[in-house]
Amino acid sequence: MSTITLKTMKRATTVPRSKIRKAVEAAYAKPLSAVKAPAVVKITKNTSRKTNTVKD
Amino acid sequence: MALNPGYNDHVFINCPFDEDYAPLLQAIVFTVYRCGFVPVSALIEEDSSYNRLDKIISWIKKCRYAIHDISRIETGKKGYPRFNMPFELGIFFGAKRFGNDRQKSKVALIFERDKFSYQQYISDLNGVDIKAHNKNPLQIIRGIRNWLRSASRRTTIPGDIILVNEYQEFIARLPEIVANAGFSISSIPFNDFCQIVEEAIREKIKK
Repeated sequence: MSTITLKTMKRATTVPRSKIRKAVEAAYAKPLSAVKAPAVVKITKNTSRKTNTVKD
Repeated sequence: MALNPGYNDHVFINCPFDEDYAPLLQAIVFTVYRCGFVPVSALIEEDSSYNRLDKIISWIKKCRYAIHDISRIETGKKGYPRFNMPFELGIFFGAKRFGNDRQKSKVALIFERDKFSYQQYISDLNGVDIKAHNKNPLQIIRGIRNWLRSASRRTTIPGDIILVNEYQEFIARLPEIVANAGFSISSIPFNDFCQIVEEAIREKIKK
């Protein structure tokens, strides 16, 4: 396994990092065989009207 | 442990941001993070008083690395092609050619869709090594991984088999992550998607 250091930056997001972290942890806790088919998400531009700056 | 990124960690992403390109953009963001770098784009800025070109120039200046995809040559719904990607590639080349020593250290990876197709629409790039991705996310992953390994000489960058396997696991788990976080799969802001990728990689490498 590689030993990269994960680098992150503060971004203006619409959801707090803590919520994303919980969402990821819950998804990765399941066995891979139990997950649905892969999906493509539609990534959109950030718009200032919809976003709040969330600090980690 | 997470560290704040600097000039040598930022990778400027210059590519289409539309539905058709989404599978490739997902692969780009994941691979850049998983190799220990940070993807940035002019789209991450929130300050509406700062014009788009200023944002682009500002981010290009802050990035040693850049991924440019000049494959989108089709005309759009109104019958015109998009020139933004070749234009931003030109700014990057200009910074590297005319900038200070720091700017001269810039390194670019240029993608096209089909091998040598660029010669038909941007022949000034003849002699530049351009990679074809054939609209295949796995080719994108391998191309970026090999380029970052070679350009940065970082020995911590994982092999392509690890990257591909982890990416395939990530996209398999993505629908549930997106649902858990309260997003619609048809609309995730770029910054939020980046944060999802950061946390997914953090989760994976801690195991």
